[in-house]
Amino acid sequence: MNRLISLKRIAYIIILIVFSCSENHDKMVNENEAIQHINILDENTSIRNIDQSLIDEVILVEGLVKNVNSLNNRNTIIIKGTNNELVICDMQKNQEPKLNAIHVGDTLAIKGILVGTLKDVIVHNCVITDADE
Amino acid sequence: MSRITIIFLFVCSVLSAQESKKLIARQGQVSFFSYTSVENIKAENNQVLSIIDFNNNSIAVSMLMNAFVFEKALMREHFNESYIESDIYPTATFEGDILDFDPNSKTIQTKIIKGVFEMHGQKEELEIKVKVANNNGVFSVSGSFETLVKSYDINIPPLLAGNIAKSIEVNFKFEYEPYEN
Repeated sequence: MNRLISLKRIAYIIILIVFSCSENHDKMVNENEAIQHINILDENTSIRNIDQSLIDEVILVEGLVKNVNSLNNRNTIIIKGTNNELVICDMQKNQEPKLNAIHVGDTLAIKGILVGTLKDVIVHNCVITDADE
Repeated sequence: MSRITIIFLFVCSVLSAQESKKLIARQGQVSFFSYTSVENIKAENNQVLSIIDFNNNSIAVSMLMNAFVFEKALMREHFNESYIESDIYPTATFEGDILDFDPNSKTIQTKIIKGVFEMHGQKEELEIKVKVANNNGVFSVSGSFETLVKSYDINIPPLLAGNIAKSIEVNFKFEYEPYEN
């Protein structure tokens, strides 16, 4: 009897592992999520020196659109701040319909998951949002 | 125009010309594949930074390890937390030279890049065959190479050894634009 219960437990764990491996649990960004707001149009703000504890957290970045492109089949918006700092936003797939309305020079607020900083700041799973949130 | 003004303008034009000899790719793509009979693992990083300096034909590449996108989130978690330890080693870098490279050639050049790749705190000397294209002044560099997991001191538990290939295929593609600070 005990052996049967143990086998059932093992089977349950295997099913759990298989199921969790088959799902993609990448964090998706919700437009209504409350997060850290970084306005790179404020010349006193430096996103390059962003708190590293925010990596893998959702942030909101506000700045000017420098470039919209689909290099590598990824929709990307590059945002520029007043200190010439750039934020590379890799957009969520569901944002594609909104991209045609975005133009270079527009002021834009984008929410996404902070990945880290090289020369520029990299943000993934981005959604276009309202800066006043 | 005074002599000092002429010298100043000359120095500025020389500095400007030297600056324009640098190219930058902010959205380079690096992907890797691990093929085994148990499972295939593929990941892609689309925000790889690379700078080419035509003054000495050097090339530098830097990428964030946690910017790799996997098919499954669990693969990403294992990659970053167990294998690459991206909290301790957040970036991988390559520094090298494009050998016998002619920046003025308009044809596609097949060249060797020789340099040092550093990942997970381990340095590996690499010689990589690349294609360098100059499409009306827009340069691109692409290529692929194979590298051994054991070169990077990555600890793979024996139970999972069958899931990860001993040799990993790496592909890369960079499109450059003029460098600006």
